[in-house]
Amino acid sequence: MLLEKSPLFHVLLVEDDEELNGDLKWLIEKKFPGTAVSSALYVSTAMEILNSADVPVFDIALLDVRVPLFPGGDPRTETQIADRLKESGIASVYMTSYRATDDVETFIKDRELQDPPLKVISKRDLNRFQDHVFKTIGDWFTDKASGVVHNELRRVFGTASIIRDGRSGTADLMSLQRTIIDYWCYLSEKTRREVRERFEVVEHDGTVNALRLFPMGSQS
Amino acid sequence: MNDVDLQEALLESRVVSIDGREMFRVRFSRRVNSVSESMRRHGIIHESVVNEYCEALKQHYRVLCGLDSDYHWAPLTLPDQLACPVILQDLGSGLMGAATTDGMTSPYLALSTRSHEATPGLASRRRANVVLHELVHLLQFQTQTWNYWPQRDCWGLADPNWWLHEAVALAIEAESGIAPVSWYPWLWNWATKPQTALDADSHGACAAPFLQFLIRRFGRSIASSIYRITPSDVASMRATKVLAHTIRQTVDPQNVESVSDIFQSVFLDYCTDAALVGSGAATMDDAITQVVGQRMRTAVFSEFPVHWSDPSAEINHLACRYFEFVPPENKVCLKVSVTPEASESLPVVVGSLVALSREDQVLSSARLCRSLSVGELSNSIPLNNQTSRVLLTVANTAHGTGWAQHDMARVSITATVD
Repeated sequence: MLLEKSPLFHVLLVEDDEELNGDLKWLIEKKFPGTAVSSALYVSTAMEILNSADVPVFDIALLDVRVPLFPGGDPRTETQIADRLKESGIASVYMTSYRATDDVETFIKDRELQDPPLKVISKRDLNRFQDHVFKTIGDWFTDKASGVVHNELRRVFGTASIIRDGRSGTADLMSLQRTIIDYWCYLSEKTRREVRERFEVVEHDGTVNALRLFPMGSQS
Repeated sequence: MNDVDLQEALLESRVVSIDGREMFRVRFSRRVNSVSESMRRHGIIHESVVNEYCEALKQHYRVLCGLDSDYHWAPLTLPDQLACPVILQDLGSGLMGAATTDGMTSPYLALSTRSHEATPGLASRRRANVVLHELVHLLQFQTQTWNYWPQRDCWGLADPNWWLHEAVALAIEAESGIAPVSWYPWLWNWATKPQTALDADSHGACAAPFLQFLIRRFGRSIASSIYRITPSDVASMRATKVLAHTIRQTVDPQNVESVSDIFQSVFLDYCTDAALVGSGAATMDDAITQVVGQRMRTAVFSEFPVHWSDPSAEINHLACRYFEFVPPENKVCLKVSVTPEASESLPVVVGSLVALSREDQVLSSARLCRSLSVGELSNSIPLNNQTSRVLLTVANTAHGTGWAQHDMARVSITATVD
């Protein structure tokens, strides 16, 4: 029973340009270690993913505004996925090259007032587009990772529930250490300071090599 | 001087030597008013805390690994002959102590300077318990078996086998006799829901009584034997299977009987024993019932014949249900049949009957016999004028098909008296 390590983040990508779809999936998974991208070329495939029994909890969805419903169909502004993502509370980032067309404008305007407001990235300048996608996703991951680690730190050190439930601290501390190591490269500076109040962190190239409860002191 | 350097400068250490060897280096600081609040809280106020921890380390290490230890844990391996670090600090309101590792070097212990108990006596006993519990984890960390499992990169609470590590440590705590009643309240679920799986909680509370039973039945060394077992496929084995192999090696070193037959038999013995805790007839600690009461009976029957079934009364894997029969006077025999609702459950469902007197003495006992052709388990037990009730234990010995996935069993029961 070899268990694979679960991804830290799940991204849903819906883009009908096959080449761009493949490139984006590859780039995101390479740029953000621990990220799994589920990609779809059509609305129907995206809905299949969202409706499947073992659907992961998506952290963020990256979608082309105009996508064909089925293979061979014409790209159009479809609200099915948008409505479903909103219903599930999954943050959405839309990509478009057709901001000037009426249907796209209406689609965007209809969603600009929603909470959180719609994020739209233009695909016209491909270099800036890629930077924009990375920054948007990166900011989102930082928020999530920092929140997870902050809450774990509070849970392990800050509540009496572990003692009340009679749990040994070993499992909790090891889980916390694993979480910090996994999420370290995504943490905000503020959360890293929080970690350093408890742990001595030995890192190299953004990866944690060792994590010791502070202060261990020299061993000799 | 920054906080790290200042804290390093304030650190004191005390060596705990055992049998002439420096075994632990306990690091602590004293409470100094001139430092920041976050640093000040880590400092100890009373040296007695350090003394208690040092004494507990020495005493419990000897109990677990000493030359005359019944537990037979392998001594701590100390790389480069450096004593194992033990840091004392305020671990907040959530932790009393932990064994941990930084992922690079040897494991170490962290123990809290904060007291969570109402009286100094309780706090002192609690510290001794924490040291013993975390020492067991430290010894588990260096074993071959433990080191196979985390290869799956599942640490701590994410490790589906963690319940076993905790259960072993809890059972050893209980056997130490220091203050087992302090954790017996955690057996509330175990007492009120015997149908809950052995591996249902990562804290090990559901499984700790089983480990206590094994220690009392087969000797203390069975706890460390779990961590010496290395079947070739241990990396892919769940903790229940490793436990089953350990029991077989202890009970039947010649490997004559099958692992599953021995495990079924021992697990049924445990379930039956657990129902008798508090009666003086059990292997396990009778004090458990003083804290959480007797294990719950699903039904008590006093009218015969009995035809019982309840679709909602499932029995999880590695769990059981209890039933009691109160036979009328002047009857000589009680016959009981248990039929699993699904035929695939038949090989994993086992049962036993125990006739008890009014004084809870065991008058006679019998195992239910399996009949594959009829698809039921049945047996009869003699009754006499001393018999006050008969306990039926029905256990599901399936190992479960995965973490949080269950092999449920449901049974129907019939009983007659002659």
